[in-house]
Amino acid sequence: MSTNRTPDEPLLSPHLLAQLERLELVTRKMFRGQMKGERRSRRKGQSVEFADFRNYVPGDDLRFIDWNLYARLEKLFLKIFMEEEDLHFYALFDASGSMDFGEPSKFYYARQLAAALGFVGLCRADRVKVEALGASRQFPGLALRGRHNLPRLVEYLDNVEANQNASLEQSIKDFCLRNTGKGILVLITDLMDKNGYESALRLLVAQQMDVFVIHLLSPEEMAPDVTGDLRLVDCEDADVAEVTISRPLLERYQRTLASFIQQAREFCTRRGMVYVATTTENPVEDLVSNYLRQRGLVR
Amino acid sequence: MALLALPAAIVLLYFLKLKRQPLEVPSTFLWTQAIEDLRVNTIWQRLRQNLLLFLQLLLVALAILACLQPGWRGSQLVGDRFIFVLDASASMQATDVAPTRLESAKQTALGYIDEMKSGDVAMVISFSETARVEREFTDNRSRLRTAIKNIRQTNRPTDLSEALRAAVGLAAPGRSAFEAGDVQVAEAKPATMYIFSDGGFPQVDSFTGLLEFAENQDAAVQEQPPLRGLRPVFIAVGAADTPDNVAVAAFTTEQNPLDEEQTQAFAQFENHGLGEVLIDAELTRDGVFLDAARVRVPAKGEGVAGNVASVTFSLGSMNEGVLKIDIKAADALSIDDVAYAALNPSRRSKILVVTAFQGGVPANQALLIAMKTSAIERLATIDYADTAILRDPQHQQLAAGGTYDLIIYDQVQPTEMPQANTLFFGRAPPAGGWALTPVTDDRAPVIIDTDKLHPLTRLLNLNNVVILNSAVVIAPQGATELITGNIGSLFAISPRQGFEDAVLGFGMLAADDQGGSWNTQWWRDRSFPVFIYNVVRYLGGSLGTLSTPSYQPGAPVLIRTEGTIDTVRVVKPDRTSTELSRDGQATFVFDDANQQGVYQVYESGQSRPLQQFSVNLFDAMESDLVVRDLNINDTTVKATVGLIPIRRDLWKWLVLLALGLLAFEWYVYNRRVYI
Repeated sequence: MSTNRTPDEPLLSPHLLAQLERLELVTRKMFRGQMKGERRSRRKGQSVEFADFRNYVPGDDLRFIDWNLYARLEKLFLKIFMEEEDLHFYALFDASGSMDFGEPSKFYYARQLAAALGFVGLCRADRVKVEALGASRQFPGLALRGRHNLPRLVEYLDNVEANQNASLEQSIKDFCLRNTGKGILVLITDLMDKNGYESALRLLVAQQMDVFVIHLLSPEEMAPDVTGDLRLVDCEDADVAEVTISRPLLERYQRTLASFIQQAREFCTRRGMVYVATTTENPVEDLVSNYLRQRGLVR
Repeated sequence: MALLALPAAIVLLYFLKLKRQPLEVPSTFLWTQAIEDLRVNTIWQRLRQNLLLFLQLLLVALAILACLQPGWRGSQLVGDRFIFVLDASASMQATDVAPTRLESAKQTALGYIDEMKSGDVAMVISFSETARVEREFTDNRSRLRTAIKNIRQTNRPTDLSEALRAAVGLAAPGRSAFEAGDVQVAEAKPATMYIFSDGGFPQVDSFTGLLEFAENQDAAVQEQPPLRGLRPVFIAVGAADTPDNVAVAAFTTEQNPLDEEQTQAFAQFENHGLGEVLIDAELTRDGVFLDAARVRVPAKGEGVAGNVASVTFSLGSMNEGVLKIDIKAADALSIDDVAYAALNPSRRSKILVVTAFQGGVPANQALLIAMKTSAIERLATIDYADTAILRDPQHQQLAAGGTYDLIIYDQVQPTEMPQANTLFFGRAPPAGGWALTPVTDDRAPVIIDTDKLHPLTRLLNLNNVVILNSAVVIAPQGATELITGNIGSLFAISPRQGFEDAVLGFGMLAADDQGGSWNTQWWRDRSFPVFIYNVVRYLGGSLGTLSTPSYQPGAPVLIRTEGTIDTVRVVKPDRTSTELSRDGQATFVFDDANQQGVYQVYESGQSRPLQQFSVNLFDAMESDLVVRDLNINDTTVKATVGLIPIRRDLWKWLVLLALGLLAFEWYVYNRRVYI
């Protein structure tokens, strides 16, 4: 259907970067960060934003005593400030063979999206981890922080190849074992796994992460432009399907595709995951600034 | 038979694995799901909705059918030059083939034109008793079609020879003459002449335009008689069985012989059908009903008088008006169901007797006495003149001007024939091929036979007539011999330019002695005044005074007038009128008598018609609707189909259809059309 023809242009254009700079990642859940970041935490801590007063108990840091109150009330009160923490952002993208189709290929699109979201995270001093699924050995994911790390992120994405034919479930299990931190997880995949995607997604539910499933399909998959008597060969497992293309068959394919998307949407929604179906025809900037903003991933 | 295995092979191929084109796809995941429920279906269900398979089977079926070379029996015209000769005569109005025979012939001819190959040329001729070239040789089929469509029905009788002449003249343009002795000046191009007719015309005899036709044609052509390069093919038009038709065969008015004051109308009917018919003959005068009669007309071969019946209506003293008889018959031909007759206003005829005078009175007392009967005086004004008048220029001018209806030359010969009917006693007219040959031996002339039917000699009993001397009357061609003697013809009558000349071989008086020696004692016999009365009635024109002459449609009508009228106006039955000028003679020629009915001739400025004449079909040949074979020079041209049967193949169309199907299949395959 298509060869691995990644466009020569960089994953992120300056124009896109300028757009992304204004965005920030949002989570519906409050996560406990590991380092001080730019995000308000549930914990109280050291920031400029005042939160509350509480009675002094011995052992408290004297620096936080409100001496003005003590002068008026002759009681020791402690000023409590909001704590700001960082956010863990994980972008997982499918690097299986099936992603390497389409014009531009789904794989390129997935990497572009991962880069864009990763850049948003880097800009807000979040902890960004981008990883190709099933490529933990060959291409171990990078955990980056700070926008100066953008070139490393892009370099990593440029090097990844779409030949990681591991099952979705196995890859995610592998990821979950290695990454226990909570945060936002964006999974970019075509969900085309003959073993099913359900068990894989359940693992993510168990991680108690804020999961976004971006279901990526190519236009060729949405409306196949094929004719005649064909022997369809699966590029991942060389499975063969013999078809004689006819109008009823194409109609049936469309119905199957529609129900496939519908099932995935229901599965995700039921488990508190945000499901976004998109095709490679939809530009990344549109997806980020329109769809994902509506879905609450970015702000 | 091997071909029949082909569809089976195709179905078999559908069961077998097809050679499928391999195509790498991201995942067969969705495809497998999509074809899952197809796989569970049986093979027959798989085939059920396979449009391509059916199209292929149909294609192969068509191909097999094409290979079997189906065809049908078609037809084609023979040759490349055609002459379409269409009969437009009265009988072609018959409705035994819907709508009429002529229309049917036109349709057939149009069909023939459709069959013409490109490059073929054809000519269209219509004919009745004259021929008309509707379109000369052309390869423009639309013009030929227009020419055929424009052929108009006529009421005229039929004569094929005119059409043959026209066809031969145009088919062989190098020739300019049609006499048998002509030297052939150019090679006649062979052409096929299709004659669309019902054959209702007399056989064409001695058509001198016919020469031997160079025989290098195929056998089918040689079957037909040669017609100087023309191969006549007769396409019979009309129903195969004899259509019913009753015709008015004659319709005249005349005075009752028993009572001169009484007028009678006499109609004769002919039944040309195979069954006896009962007709209601209705007589009207100027559109007003007069009388009706129911007449039983026997069929052909029945009855004493054959297929003829007649009826006589008594009209009283009627002497004016237009009579019309209409037999209310629902037969195939309607034009012969009506007939017209006009009652002419009575007119006294003008008769001049040129005879030798003796002492100021005519010497021929017998003639004088016979002319002086009251019956004759009622009919005519009679002048007597001495033979000397023949040299008088004034008389010559009057005679040439048509002043007299009849001039009786009693043993005298004029220098030039007058514009009048004539009766000659013992002399021959100076012109026209007449001669009197004296008898050389001593035989006395004895009358052997008289024509009992001719109006001149009707009711004459000449058995006792003794004639001393008589010459033998040598009459011109076309004359009728009325009295035959042992020496030869004694009395004959012959037409001359609308007049009639009657010549008696003997005179009343002996030639050598004009003093009173009788050559015959006929004048003593009762038959002599009867003869003179007949002469006055017939040649004097009194016979025609009451009943008007009837002409056939299309025939030229000679109109004779009294005195010196320069122009006359002829009013046709449809009330349109034509002015006629004198053509130098005393007669006017009216050649537009195509409509049936009564024509009235008016002198300019007069309100009463000068004369009337009627135009009626009265043609047994036209009324007899039996389709006859064509007869040219004693050779019968059988009715043929004209088109030679030819095998028309269907396979080309089948292959074309198969190609179309293939294109549709390709479309279905590429567009994934699902019907």
